[in-house]
Amino acid sequence: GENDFKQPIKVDSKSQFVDGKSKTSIFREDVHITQGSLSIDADEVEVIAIEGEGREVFIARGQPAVYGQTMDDGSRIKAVANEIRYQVSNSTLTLTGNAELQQNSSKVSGDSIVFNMELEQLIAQGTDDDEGRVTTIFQPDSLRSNDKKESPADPQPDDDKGSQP
Amino acid sequence: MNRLTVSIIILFLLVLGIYLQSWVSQKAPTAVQQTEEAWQPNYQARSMRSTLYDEQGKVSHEVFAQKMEHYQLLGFTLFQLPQYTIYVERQDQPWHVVAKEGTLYDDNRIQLETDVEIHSQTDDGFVRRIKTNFIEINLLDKTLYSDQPVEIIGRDFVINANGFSGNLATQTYEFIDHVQTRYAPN
Repeated sequence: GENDFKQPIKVDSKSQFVDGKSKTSIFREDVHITQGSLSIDADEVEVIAIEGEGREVFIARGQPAVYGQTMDDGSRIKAVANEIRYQVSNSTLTLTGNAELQQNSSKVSGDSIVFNMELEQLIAQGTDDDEGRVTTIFQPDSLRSNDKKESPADPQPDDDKGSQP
Repeated sequence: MNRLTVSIIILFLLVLGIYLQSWVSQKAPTAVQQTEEAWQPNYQARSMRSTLYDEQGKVSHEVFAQKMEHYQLLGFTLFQLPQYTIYVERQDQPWHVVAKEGTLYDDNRIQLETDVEIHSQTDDGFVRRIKTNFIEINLLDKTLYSDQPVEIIGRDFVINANGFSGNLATQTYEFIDHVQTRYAPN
C-alpha cells in the first residue's frame, strides 16, 4: 500500500560488498528486501545510491526474482522476472526477462513490464517474441474491479447491481 | 653385585641429588629475570603525539594518546585512549579513529579495542562512521579487519554485520557474515 513507501528499506543477505567510490553495494545469497508490505527475494541485488537518499535503484536478479506487495484494497500483487528493478524515487518497478505480474485473477506477462507501485498502475509492457504484440490476460470480474480503481469518484456499477431484482 | 658396588651407587646417587638440585635452580632464576625485564616498558609517555611519514614524505598517520608504553623486546606499544588520524591518498580526507585501548605492533598493525569509532572527515563520503569493539588496521596499506559485530553508518544507510574487511584508501568493504542493511526513507 501507499504508506509502504514511507518505511525504511531493509535488506537481509548472506554477504554484502560496498564500493564507497562508486557508491554501490552488491548483496549476495538469499537476498530479501522488505519495505512495509513490499518484499523482493533474489539471488543477488545491486544497489546504486549515487543520487543519494531516497533515490536509490535496487536491481534484483534471480531465477526468477520474486516481488510481492499488499495493495491499498488489501489484495496481494505478485510478480516474477529474471531482473526486477525498483526505482525508489518514483516507486516504479521494471520487470525484465520472462516477466509476469499477477493481481487477483488478472495476469500480465511479457518480456518487460513497468509498474507504478504507488499508483498501482501498469505503465508499459512489451514482448518481442511476436513483433511486440501485447499479451495480456484479463479475467472478467477483474475488469470491473479495475474500473472501480480508475474512477472511484463515479457511481459504481455495484449500485446498478443493487437495483436489479 | 656385592655390597661394595651397591654402596658406591647409593653414594653416587646421593652426590648427584645434591648437585642436581643446585644446577637446576641456578638456571631457572636467570630465565625468569630476562622475561621480567621484557615486561618493563622501555619508555612511557603521557599525552604524547607522534606523526609518521611514508616514503614519499607524505604524512601516513598521526597518533595522540593519553598514555603510551613501548615494549622493545615484546615488539609492541600500548596506548590508552589513542586517537589516530589516518591519511589516504587525498590528504584532505583523513579518517579519525578513537578507542579505549590500542596495541601497535612493529609491522605497523594497530589493534584497537573497546568503543572503537572510525569517522570520515568528508561530508560527501559514502561511509561516514564505523563502530565496533575490535578492529585491526594496517597503517601502511590502510586495510582494516574485524571479527566482531560491526556497524557501518553511511549517508543514508546503516549496515550491521559480524566482522568485515575493508580498505580505507579504495573505500571498499566486504561483509561475509552480513546481518542487515537499512536504507532510510526520504
